[in-house]
Amino acid sequence: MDVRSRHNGDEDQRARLARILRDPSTYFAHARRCAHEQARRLLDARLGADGVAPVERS
Amino acid sequence: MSAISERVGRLAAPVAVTAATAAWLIGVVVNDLSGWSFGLTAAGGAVLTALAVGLPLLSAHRAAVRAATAEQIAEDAAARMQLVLDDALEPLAYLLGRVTDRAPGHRDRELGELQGQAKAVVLAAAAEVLAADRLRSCYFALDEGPPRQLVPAGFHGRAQAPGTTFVAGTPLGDYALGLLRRREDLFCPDVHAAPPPGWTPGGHAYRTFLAVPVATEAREFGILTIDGLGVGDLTDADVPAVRVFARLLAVALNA
Repeated sequence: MDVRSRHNGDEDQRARLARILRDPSTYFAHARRCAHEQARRLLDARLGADGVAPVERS
Repeated sequence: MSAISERVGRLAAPVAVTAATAAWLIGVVVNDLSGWSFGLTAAGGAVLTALAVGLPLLSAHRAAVRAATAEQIAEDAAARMQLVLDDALEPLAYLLGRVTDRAPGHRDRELGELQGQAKAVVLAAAAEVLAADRLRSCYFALDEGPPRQLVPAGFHGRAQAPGTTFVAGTPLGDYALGLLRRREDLFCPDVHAAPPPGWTPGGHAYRTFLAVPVATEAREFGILTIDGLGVGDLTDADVPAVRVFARLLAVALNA
């Protein structure tokens, strides 16, 4: 597995905090969408690794 | 799954139907059946073909539905975990660090602003990371009085500010203050079916709510509530996350 580094320091957290405080509904709506996309990618990758095709969804 | 096995899977049903039908048709032709024997064989063949092919197809369909449901549950759980940890708790933990970075015992305007920000983040996160839409979170701050009471001090979500004040000496006020004193949480699945003690029916848009204490071991600050418009919008499983947000708010307010 590759070594990965993700910059997620104080400046990033300060920026996220500012976004939450400015417009919390938009921040969390975007976060929910991204979280579901990320979860779907991980799930597809895991199923693919196990040789199972993801179920087609409407 | 490889393209070949996927194609084989798609062709399985028509091949099975064709093979089963061909079996009894060949029997009809080879035996030169006619009249009632032909009719009986054809009807029996059709029924048996339907059973032989239909039952496995039905079973496969049910398995596919279960698999899709399981995938959706797995996706929702993973997304929720990321939302709570990455998008809500991490910025809140950073903010708590800024609160505790202030000099101990030194109260100033910036500390008050940071605590206000912590309250806003907790209110937003508690309402937004749970599964249902149109939830509302409310913070009721403890006012030592007298009389001792819990007063509305902020909300997030549906555009309807909380209007209840929980005053000591009233059944509902004593009940709410008791929850805070005992550090207990409350989940009410349906306020119509089983309201809390002292509950006044009418005047509430919501049907379900939960309440958790905002307190450290030594100090009480208030209660945090989440309410939803429909029965089922909140579940027991939502309580732990809200308790964590309430505990972290207490840490911020305790600085």
